[in-house]
Amino acid sequence: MSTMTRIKKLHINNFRLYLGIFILLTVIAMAVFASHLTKFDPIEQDLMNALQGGTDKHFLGTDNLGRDIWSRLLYGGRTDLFLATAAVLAPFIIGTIIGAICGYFSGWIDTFVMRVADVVVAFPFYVLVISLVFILGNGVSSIFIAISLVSWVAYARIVRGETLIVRSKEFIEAAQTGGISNRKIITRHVLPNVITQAVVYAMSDIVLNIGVIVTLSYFGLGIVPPTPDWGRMISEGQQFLAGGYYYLTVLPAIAVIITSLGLSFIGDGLAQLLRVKR
Amino acid sequence: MIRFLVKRIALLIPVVFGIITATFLLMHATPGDPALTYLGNHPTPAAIAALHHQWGLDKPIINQYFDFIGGLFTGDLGSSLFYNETILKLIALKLPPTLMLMLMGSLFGVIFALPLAIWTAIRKDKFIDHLVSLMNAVILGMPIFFIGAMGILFFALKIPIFPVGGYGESNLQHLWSLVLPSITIGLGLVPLLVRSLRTSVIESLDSEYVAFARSKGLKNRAVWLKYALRNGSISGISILGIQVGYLAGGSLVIENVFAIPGMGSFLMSGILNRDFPVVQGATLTFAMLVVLVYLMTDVAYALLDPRARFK
Amino acid sequence: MTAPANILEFENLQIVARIAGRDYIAIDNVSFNVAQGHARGLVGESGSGKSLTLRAIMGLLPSNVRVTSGSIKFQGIDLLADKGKYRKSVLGTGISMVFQEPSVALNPVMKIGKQITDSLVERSDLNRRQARERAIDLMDQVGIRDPEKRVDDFPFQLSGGMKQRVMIAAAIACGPELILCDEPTTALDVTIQAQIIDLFKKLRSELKVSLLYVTHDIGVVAELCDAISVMYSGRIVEQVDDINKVFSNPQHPYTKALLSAIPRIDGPIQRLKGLEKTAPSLTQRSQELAPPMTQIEPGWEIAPFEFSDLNQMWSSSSHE
Repeated sequence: MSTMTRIKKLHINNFRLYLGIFILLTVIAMAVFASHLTKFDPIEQDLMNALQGGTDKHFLGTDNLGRDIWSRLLYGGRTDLFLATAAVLAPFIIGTIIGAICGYFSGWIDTFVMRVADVVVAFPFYVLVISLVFILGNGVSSIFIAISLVSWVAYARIVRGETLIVRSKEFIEAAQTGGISNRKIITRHVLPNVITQAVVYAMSDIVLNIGVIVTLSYFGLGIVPPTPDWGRMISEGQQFLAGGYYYLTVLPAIAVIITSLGLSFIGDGLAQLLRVKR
Repeated sequence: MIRFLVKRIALLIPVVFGIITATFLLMHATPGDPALTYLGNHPTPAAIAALHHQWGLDKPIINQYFDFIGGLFTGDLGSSLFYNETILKLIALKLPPTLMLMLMGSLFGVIFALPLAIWTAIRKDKFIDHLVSLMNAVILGMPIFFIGAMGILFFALKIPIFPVGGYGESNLQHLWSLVLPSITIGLGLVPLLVRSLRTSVIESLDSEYVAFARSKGLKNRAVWLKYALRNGSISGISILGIQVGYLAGGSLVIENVFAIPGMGSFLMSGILNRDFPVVQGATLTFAMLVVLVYLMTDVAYALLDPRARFK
Repeated sequence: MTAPANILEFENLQIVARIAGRDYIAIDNVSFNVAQGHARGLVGESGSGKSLTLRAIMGLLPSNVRVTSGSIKFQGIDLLADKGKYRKSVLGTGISMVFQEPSVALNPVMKIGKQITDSLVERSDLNRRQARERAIDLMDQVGIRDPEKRVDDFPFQLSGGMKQRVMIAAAIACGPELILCDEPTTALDVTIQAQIIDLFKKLRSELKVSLLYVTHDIGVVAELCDAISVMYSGRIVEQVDDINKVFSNPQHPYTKALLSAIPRIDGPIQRLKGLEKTAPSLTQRSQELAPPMTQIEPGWEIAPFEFSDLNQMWSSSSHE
């Protein structure tokens, strides 16, 4: 049977990774160069021209307050993408460090932290984040804190698992017997070997964050108007669905979906790259 | 089996205590004074002090903690600041729709995911596999409230099969009005369920026991259903268990989209009314619900996999 | 007229594996047969292609491995033709297989009684109780004690030897005429190995089944088989219908090396006298086609000695 397992099909197809990178770069570029891509202010109202479909002037139309949808999409992307990405950083760093420490030292600290993690994940993600934003009050910083308090767990668990594997490897034992300090071993030998998995997860975590941020503003929490944001665009558009103004809801939703698709493709592609490398 | 259960429950006790403590800390050790929110603009210091005393907020925090735990054991979660009712009674009222929604949601999720998982596992790397995986990525990127809104648009407004929202009066209406929200939640579950089930079914199909089953001359159908799917679904059960957090969170969002008077809308109303005891009670209930489902997952796993039972 | 008909015939079988976008010849020019009621041993070290050969019969090749030429005929009909329809009809009833690792080849979450009779139930109208009775009979037949109690056990409740007996019971459930054995004793303790070999002997005499027995243990072949084919690096190097001839007078140097290692070969070839390295892996293997075999006398063939993979193996230093 050993022959069967040895003859494993190596299916290398990283089309997805490139497609994902292409999509994401396009979206980021559109958000960054928003001011060059539209001549309209995303929060400027023009009630005379409200609820118009695509016209020569507003090629994606206007919303109920006459604001240009295209501008709002561009600037909304700026808000959501920036927040979602920035909100990944703190949990990524905190979770990775905690996970590496837990996995490397094991013992009571590991037990304790993992029980805390169990408690955190017992709260449904949306329930905890929404409750936290309630407690901390509306605003961008509340979103950051709420997301950070919850999502470090995933990174800690992933990195801990990887660290447990790496720890048993020979080069770590060699370093330990060689009298190198634990801190150096963790930063020089453990982290470089475990970080890739955390990066792969970060991609889907950004997707998750976009979902949370958009959902929060759908409920009127988090991002404070008039800052343009895809979630609020969807929720505001929803009242006009029955009247046939689908584009108000569908266009920002498509923006969310395309961005998430790009990130998912990158995540999948990276994961595949990693599998092949092993 | 009983020993297994006892062991599982014992393992959960610290987590339950952690949840209680975390909820307490969230509500009490964070900035923001519920009395201020309750009294609105410009309250008199006397009124604030009176309220603090009434709610026991003037005691040392450790005493408040023990009061809180004591209250939990007697079923006393305080009273809503907004509705003139105890939290426990409100929860008893709001819990059934949410439980039903989660149950039906996971049912729809499994019904959608199972055939897709088997199909893509058998046709691995073929067109249909790529198509489903693309579809999964799209669904994963959709905010769940958007799926719900589209559901309302197409199946309540354009083709009026289901109610736009609400919960109806009779039991039958309850059930009927939960169908569209449940499908929405089920759809949200599909991407992750299909992905992990597909992997475990493929693992099963590549396994020696499936090779042996084929060598016995079993028909494909029997191999797929009795071997690959049966074994694959054991890991599917635990995936579903892990997803229950998502499920509960999804019901929070979906209840608000469909105006279903469950725990989710309860929590949201508590948040919008700045009703501290409601937020506290609802959050705690959601967490306990998740723990309970974890336990049920373990039991289901043990029932399906004899190896877990005899350990 | 005295020679029995062949139940299984290989002709010029070639199998190719696709690895990282390249094709490699895994098996070439394999031709032999199993006579009705007889047992042939297929001997070689791991990686020699003997398991692949067995799986080609059953249609259980991995998705990146395919048969590129040749035929495998069961009772005169090619198993590789008609998209495997004929094969489907004979699996279980005509040919069955006993796998190497009973611990992974049995479904861990299915009762063993069910696994023994499920293909039988699919083909007949046995009801649940009758199927259970049949499973108990079969378990008794393969020497499992207390079959009434054991029939509802799960695989993990059984020892390795018992699991292997369960697999054998499942393999004979539909009354096959040919059983393929893929190193069925390798994963077992030595004492259990002997019992399983005895069980196969018993099945041969009682059920008149033919065997194609794959192993790296030439001692087992000596005990159980009538004919032998020795494989190396995807090629047959020597084969003979009367096993005694090869034991008394082996022709090919590789066969000689194998025989000198009797009673047991444990693991890799470098323990064999005169051989130093392990066999080359599939991707490093020589891609030259196997030269035709030379017939020494009817029913006895050897490959030319100068096959390059093999030549690399002989250590120059060990020549006395």
